[in-house]
Amino acid sequence: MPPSNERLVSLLRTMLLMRRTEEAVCDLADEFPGNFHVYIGQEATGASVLTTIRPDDPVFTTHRNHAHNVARGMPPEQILSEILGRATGPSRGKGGTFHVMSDEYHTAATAIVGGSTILATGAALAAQVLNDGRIGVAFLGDRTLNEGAVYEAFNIAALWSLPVLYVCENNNASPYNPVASGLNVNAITDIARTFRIASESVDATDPIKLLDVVERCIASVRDERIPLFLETCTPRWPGNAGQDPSLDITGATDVSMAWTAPANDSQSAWRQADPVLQLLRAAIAQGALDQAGATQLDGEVREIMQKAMSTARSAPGPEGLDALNDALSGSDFWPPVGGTRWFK
Amino acid sequence: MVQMSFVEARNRAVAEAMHADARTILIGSMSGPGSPEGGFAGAFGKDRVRNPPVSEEGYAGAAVGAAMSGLRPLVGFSTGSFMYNAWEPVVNEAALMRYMSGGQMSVPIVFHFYVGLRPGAAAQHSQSPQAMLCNAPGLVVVAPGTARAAYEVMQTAIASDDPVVYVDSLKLHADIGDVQTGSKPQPVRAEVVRSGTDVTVVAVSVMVPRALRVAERLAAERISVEVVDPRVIAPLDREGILESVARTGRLVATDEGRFTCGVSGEIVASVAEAGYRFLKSAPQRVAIPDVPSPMSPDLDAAITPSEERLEAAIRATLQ
Repeated sequence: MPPSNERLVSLLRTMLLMRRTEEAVCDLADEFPGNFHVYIGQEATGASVLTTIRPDDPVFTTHRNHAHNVARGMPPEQILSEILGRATGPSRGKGGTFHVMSDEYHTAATAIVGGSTILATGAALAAQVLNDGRIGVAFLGDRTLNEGAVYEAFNIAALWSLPVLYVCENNNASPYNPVASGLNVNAITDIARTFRIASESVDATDPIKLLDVVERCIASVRDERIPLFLETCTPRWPGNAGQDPSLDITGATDVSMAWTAPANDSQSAWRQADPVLQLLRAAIAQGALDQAGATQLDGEVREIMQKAMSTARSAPGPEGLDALNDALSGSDFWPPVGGTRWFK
Repeated sequence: MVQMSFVEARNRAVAEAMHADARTILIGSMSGPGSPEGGFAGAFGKDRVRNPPVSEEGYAGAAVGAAMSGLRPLVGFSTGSFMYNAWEPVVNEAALMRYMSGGQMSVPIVFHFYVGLRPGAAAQHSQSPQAMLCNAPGLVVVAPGTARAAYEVMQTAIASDDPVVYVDSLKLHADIGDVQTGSKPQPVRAEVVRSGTDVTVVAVSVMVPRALRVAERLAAERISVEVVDPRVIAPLDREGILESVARTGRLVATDEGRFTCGVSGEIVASVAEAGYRFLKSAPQRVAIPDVPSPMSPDLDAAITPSEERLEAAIRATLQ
């Protein structure tokens, strides 16, 4: 059954907000130290999964977490504040781009490759022991399957029948060749199948098909209390070509490209595959909204982002000595960290 | 007060916590080689007492994720050497999640394993990672040296919202002591286990009973040794240790771990830095030399921080 018009427009809004947040991060790149990773081109996967699961399902994301937090409901100004290292970020500047996360939205971000996989497996163990109906959700990349810990996690999840969804975003999939991901296998889904974990692969440039597969997979994990591995083959955004993500190559997203014939230039393949434009095309085709409606929706999202950028930019930085807090809970059970007489 | 062995006291605290709170689960084994956690599985069921595959990184990582999602797991690696395979979830996930989230997230978990020299076990089954883990901020590292401390420290470790590494030694397991059961979890600080006036011996884990025996022998010579069990080595109760040295004016620090960048060195450095004025003689360290653990009992004896070496170090501070 095709998604309702309301569901389509809501999904589109989420994906636009995800896209515009990452474009804002690219615009802010000179205002925070270090490198960063953006989610442009992968939005269909995160939006579909994170708007289908329950708000209390524990989610474990990675260094590529900004847009996952958007889809989870975190206001963009909080995300940008954390990336800029401001006191108003959810981690008060201790996490930054690698660790935008929120206890309130049950979303944790670990930037060690393989970390999200093992942690989400444990979240599913908690759901099983507490028998509370939750499922664990891990986002991972294709190269995460290079890590041995992932194989241990798959084995444990299968042995103990843990309700966990592994969402493997394969952004190295065009043309499909696991060897390019450092994996000497025929197909990435073969790996989880070896552990007798149900596995599916789906083309993430078709957001309607993807949404259908995602909803079925989540229902399977939820109802049958089993692990499931979903590979989503996502397009590679040309702006990721160099060392740092940049809008220089593709420019910011122009929603009108959803209904104007793409120019026959170096970016035409990307614009054809872009999941945001693809969903917009599908929504218009279904009659969920028209061109004017799409332009208006994008305008609303841009306005939110403008405010978010300005709020984040003007937010104060943390007090330097706040660096000494949060290593431990501060409970009286243990001596104080460091000891004031020894810290100079 | 009830008399029981170190391992009985430690397991008593675990069993009481598991009775009191269904969120407390055990993954892996806390017993010695050849002693699976049969008693716990029988008492609490296989849902809460998990026998995992030989996948230390996988099951420790799963335990961390479970701790972030509503459970309060204990993870038993058995031999400390095996936790090296779980370095990632212990030092990169459990230790850092609270800090990286700006205090939003807690990882209430206890990692347990054995450290110290094990005759016949050779190098790969005798590792002592306690000092390395003291260098991983975000972890609490505890190393009780008496049956009473084994019980009390385990109570607090399980009740704590911080990730705790609980190390003990197989050589401590049979030691009998008076244990006050049924009390609530208490703050853990350095504890004077024998009062004295001439020299402070800060003894970690298995070094506590050794220090107590040496102190008893030296008392016959009217040498009065104060023995301090720090019980928690990260964060270290520096103030508590300094109070004892302020009274005695002399210090020996000892740990069955390596010498360089070790726990004993950290204790000496902390006292020298903030308590130099109290010191009447140069502080001494008694630790394992910086070599791997050999198999032969003859070789093992030569590198063990023995009562003889400890006694010699105490005498050196009195000259």
